[in-house]
Amino acid sequence: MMEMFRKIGDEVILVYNPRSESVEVGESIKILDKGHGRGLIVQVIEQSLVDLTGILEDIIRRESIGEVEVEEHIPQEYERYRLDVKNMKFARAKIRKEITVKNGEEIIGDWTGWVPDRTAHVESLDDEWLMKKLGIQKNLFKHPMILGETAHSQKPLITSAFYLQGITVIVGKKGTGKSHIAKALLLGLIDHKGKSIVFDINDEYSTMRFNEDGTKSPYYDKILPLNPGENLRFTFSYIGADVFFDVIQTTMGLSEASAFELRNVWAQIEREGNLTFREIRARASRIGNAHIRAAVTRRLERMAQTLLFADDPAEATTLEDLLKNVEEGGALVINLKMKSKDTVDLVVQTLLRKTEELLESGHHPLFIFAEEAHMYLRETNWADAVTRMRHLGTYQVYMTNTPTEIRPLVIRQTDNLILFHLTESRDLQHVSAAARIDPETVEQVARALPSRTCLVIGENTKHYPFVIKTTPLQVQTAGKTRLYFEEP
Amino acid sequence: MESGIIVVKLQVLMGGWLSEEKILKGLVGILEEHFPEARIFRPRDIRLDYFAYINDEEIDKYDEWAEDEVVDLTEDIEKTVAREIEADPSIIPISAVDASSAKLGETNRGVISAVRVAIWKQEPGQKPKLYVYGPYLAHITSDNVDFVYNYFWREIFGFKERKKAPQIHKMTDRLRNFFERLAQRQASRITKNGITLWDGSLTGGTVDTPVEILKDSLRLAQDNNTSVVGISKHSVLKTESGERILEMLDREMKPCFKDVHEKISPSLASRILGRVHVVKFTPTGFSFRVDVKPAPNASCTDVLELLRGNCTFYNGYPDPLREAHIHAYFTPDELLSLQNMAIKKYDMEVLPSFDVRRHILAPFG
Repeated sequence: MMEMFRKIGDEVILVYNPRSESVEVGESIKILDKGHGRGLIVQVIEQSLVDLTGILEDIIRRESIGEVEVEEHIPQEYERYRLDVKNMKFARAKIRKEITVKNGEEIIGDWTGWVPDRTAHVESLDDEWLMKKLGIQKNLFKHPMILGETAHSQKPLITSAFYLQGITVIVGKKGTGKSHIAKALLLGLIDHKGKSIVFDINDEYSTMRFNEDGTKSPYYDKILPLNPGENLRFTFSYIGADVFFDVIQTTMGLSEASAFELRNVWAQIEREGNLTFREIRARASRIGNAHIRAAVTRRLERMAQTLLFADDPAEATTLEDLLKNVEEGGALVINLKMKSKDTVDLVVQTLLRKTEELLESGHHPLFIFAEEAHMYLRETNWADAVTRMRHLGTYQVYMTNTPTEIRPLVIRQTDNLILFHLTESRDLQHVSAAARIDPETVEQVARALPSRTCLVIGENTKHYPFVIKTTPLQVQTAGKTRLYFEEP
Repeated sequence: MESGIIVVKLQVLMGGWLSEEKILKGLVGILEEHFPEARIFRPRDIRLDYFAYINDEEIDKYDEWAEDEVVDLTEDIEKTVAREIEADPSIIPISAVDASSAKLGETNRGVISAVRVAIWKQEPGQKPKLYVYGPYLAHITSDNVDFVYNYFWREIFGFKERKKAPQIHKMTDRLRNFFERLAQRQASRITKNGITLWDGSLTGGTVDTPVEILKDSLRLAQDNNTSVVGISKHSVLKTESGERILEMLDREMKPCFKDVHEKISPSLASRILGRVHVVKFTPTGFSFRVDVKPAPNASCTDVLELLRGNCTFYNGYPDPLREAHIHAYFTPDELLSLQNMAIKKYDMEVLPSFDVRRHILAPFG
């Protein structure tokens, strides 16, 4: 039976025999001192072999034998006992909660610093019991959503869509399951009539319109795939001068002098009520200064190549119109795969600006799913996202395999962290602030997470770190990557 | 008792022709059969926070060691010349024997001990072979101490008369000695035209080893044209005035030896079944007391030269003997395993480990 060996700071060391008991990183353990009616809930963050003195000598003795032929005559059962001692393990666990037993009921609260003695009963904890105690229960939520299944007790971890109304950060190495859980969150939001905009850089979200067998999924009409330049085009008047000049100057590098000239052109055309892309190109070609003319026309030509601008309002769309298609919940999936930097920037900046305007005018809040957001968000966007836009009702889900690219400002404001396997200390240190628990838990647990398994902590888990496995979705989730070699 | 009787006795033991090897293998059964039931077990306190070398021979036999291993020299040998040991390149078989014992704890009836013995053997052109017997558990109580002791004494070593068993707390080391003597005999039997190395001196007539047992093992070796070399790690040389000689070969920067046999007191010399030397096998290694019983037609010098030519050394100590020792002694985790095995196997209630020194003298105990 597992026993408590030592307490160091906010950690306890538990010793156990792996032949009769198993413990996993992330697993919760209950240590109950029945006599005193008190106990602890601890969570394993590391397991290791007990370094008993003599083990090294024993190993060296055996390894040094080398080419020697050995004839051992030992009592049959001795080997089992020897291996038991040699393989004895310890689990390093963080103290998470304290248990108080009152009238036979176990109540959990914050740890007061109390520790049980070594005779306390140690047992693996059923996650369902813990979730119930923490108030994470389906029947307590109006908008329940399944996040996954706890890795150790295999119990569904239910959260409420309510808790996603903030900033959620999903990090992990490529292929560990980030997108999968993001899709689960998206579908959960859709189920509860939430509206989302997805910046889909790998064109993998629109496949959820179909079931695994290729038939239409229940989300077919709720997921709206939008391809910039095809079914996502804007008029100049819709984009507006702010976005236009922001992109042409910041992304396309138009100098201030040239932009000044172009602003005059834009203002004049606008006054004339003829604000079209065709007209602005025509006027720009007549700018007197040859250098400015060349600079402006070159950039307008690049803009034209994005096919993002339509002069005929019938060929263009607006965010307002698009959102009407998902009035009962849904997602606008903006396919940014293989799109030029100019296109991505124009699309993202336009949509962010328009979202902000919409929310300011009292539109329902929106969720934004941004994969590898550092590739298209600017510093001002990050700052805006966690302050102004968040308060206006733009809730954000960021997914990335390069967590250091997420701005510290965002990390500090994170409400929910979903952490998949990561190994780089720099990455782990960067995101650990988002977890609002000790950095060691993040570092130790993240390194030990297998594929499709993640650490979830935040508002949605009442700030208790749970290790969960993602559960399969009934819809197509795989991104389509073109392969040259079809088989390993 | 006549030399040779022991071998005959061993061969007819239990109605068959049993070699020492078979006896060593079979002893686990004998000790198990005579493992009296106990109710309570207090395991020996094992420190797991630092490495403690565990060989109870050094504790149990300390007084006897002092008596057996101290060599009083009748004259100063400081001025005698050390003779260099040339390595003889002839390849011969080498074997080495060592045993270890440890008290595992106390029961309400006596003491539970563990014993292990290892024999290392290297034959020319072959892979070395290691024979390990044990760890064997023995439960010695006031009820069975006489039986167990005399079982070895009479049934295995063939002495006719019963012998008074020692105190229970001495039995752990006595058992080790019995196992070691049996293993030495086994090594003498399986080593032909070579050298067998023992841990300790070739002194007979000690509290645990009658001269006859030693003589018999040596005779077996002689029959196989094998020399026996006993190497003492703890031996102390003293002058008649009582002064310890610590640096006899320290200034010699070559493999060398001094034959001190003629310089030791006649009463002690008569009990040593070989010639006593102080030997330094490697230029920078330690020097040891080395007792040599050469094979027929060989001299002690021949034996030392052959040994030097056929062994590697670790700080001047022969590797075969070091290997035997490494595989015989107990590590703390092994003792813990053996304690667990004893508790489970014999279904004993366990009391907390207790070391009175740690309780009353800590942190100075």
